[in-house]
Amino acid sequence: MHIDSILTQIGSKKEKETGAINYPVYFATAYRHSGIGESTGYDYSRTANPTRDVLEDAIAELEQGDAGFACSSGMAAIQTVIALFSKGDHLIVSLDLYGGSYRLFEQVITQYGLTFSYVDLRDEEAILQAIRPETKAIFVETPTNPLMRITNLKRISQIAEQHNLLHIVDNTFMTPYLQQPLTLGADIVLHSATKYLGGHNDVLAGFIVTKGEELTERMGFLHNSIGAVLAPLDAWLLMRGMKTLAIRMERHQQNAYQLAAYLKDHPLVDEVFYPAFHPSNEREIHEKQAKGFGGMLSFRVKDEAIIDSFLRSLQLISFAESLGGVESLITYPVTQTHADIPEEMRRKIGICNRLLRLSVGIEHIDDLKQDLEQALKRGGGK
Amino acid sequence: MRFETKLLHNGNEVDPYTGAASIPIYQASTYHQFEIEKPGEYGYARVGNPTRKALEETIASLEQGVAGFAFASGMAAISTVFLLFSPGDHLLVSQDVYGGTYRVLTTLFARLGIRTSFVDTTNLKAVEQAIEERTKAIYVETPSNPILKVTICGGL
Repeated sequence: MHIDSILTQIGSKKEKETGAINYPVYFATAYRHSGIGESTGYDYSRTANPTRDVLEDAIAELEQGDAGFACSSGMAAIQTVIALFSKGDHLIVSLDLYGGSYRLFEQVITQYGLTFSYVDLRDEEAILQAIRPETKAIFVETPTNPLMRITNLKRISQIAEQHNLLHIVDNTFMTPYLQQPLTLGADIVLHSATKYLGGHNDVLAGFIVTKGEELTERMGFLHNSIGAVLAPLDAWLLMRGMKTLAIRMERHQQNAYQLAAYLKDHPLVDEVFYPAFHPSNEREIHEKQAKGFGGMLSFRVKDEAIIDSFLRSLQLISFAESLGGVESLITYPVTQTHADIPEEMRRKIGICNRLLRLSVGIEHIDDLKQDLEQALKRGGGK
Repeated sequence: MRFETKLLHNGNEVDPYTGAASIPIYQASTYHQFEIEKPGEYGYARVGNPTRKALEETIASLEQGVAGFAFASGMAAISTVFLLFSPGDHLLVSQDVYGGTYRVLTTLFARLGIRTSFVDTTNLKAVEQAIEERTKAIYVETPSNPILKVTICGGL
């Protein structure tokens, strides 16, 4: 079946009692046992919930993994995955990753004796140099947030296999509709499902998808033991959002491509970061491992001074932190998503005061272009 | 104000914008920002949400604490509290603590270098004897689960 159909059919034909096309929300936290040692498979809602099960089976199928685990946020998913590791372990991580992941690693996890190296994963030499005897995993975002840099997932899988490392991919930006890292050799996929999967800026959620029996069992243990699981109503909202993922992603990337092209030629814009316009070697890697360029782009304006009035002048696009919803959002990474990354490191990565990140929504392209045009004009004082 | 009244009148009973007699469910995951320099009270739903805030302020007031934090589950709350501690720290925990708490302490947190001694917290002498130099907290259920043993909180 095509992924579009799998998405649309989430939850359908799963409810056998009434035949309800839309799967119900099971709010019950506890389940009756008919006798000692007898269970329907459901005991307590943290451990398993029928609504969450349908959602978890769906993400596992979409990512072609063995099991899915729904969490209360993307950060809850990352924290649960990081609990696989022990004191003394070392992880290699994408250089420009989401600021919240950086904050969790550096301000919480390092105190338990884990260490992290932030490496430009486009540079194979740098990866090999960063591997130590105690290295346990490579954690990848591709495209990265916010500079949209591309990592060769197949190559990382080979390196991970040679050195016995777990290959973990945050697939939030692409979604399984465009990219399926587990089919390219990754072991674990993570999502902030708040973003494209939910798609309507109205539900906070995260996913873990695992491949391999032993890893799946360990993850299930941690998911239940730590308890940062997704609530039933949020599971239902997420399921509803995911049904339209295919059609939304098509429009997101169609709009993003056109806006990236428009911004690239704008006199007030210095640089645009969108995989379709990357240098050819990087673009080709992306084209090989993903089905499209996605709906995220970043751009650097020439003059920092225009940013304040530009953001104030936007009428349609909201200045807000997040991405992947039907409504377009613009983010200023320096003060929002990446504020917890020290300035020196931000500068090294290229997250400067002139950088803006745009999550392109599914409004009509003419309205989006017009909004950027008028706001840039006002920002530039013309 | 008495406890019974506080449960009903906790500052959130009327929505200031519409007068609705119950705080609305804010489902938004993100919030528009009006100023670059001055972020609004709400930025992203994980960080803050008006509906969750009403709930958190209510529990803080009912427990007479400074702040409340709402979680995805009781175990998520317990796991987050244990993240206050660092490797080498030692905890004293009620002997008949909930199995899920026991599990997370003896597997995950043990692996992260946090040590736990399970003691009969109803026996204050035993508690005192179990205290080590790196003991950072005493974790009590009272009445305990499932024996309903009572620990004298003041004594601890």
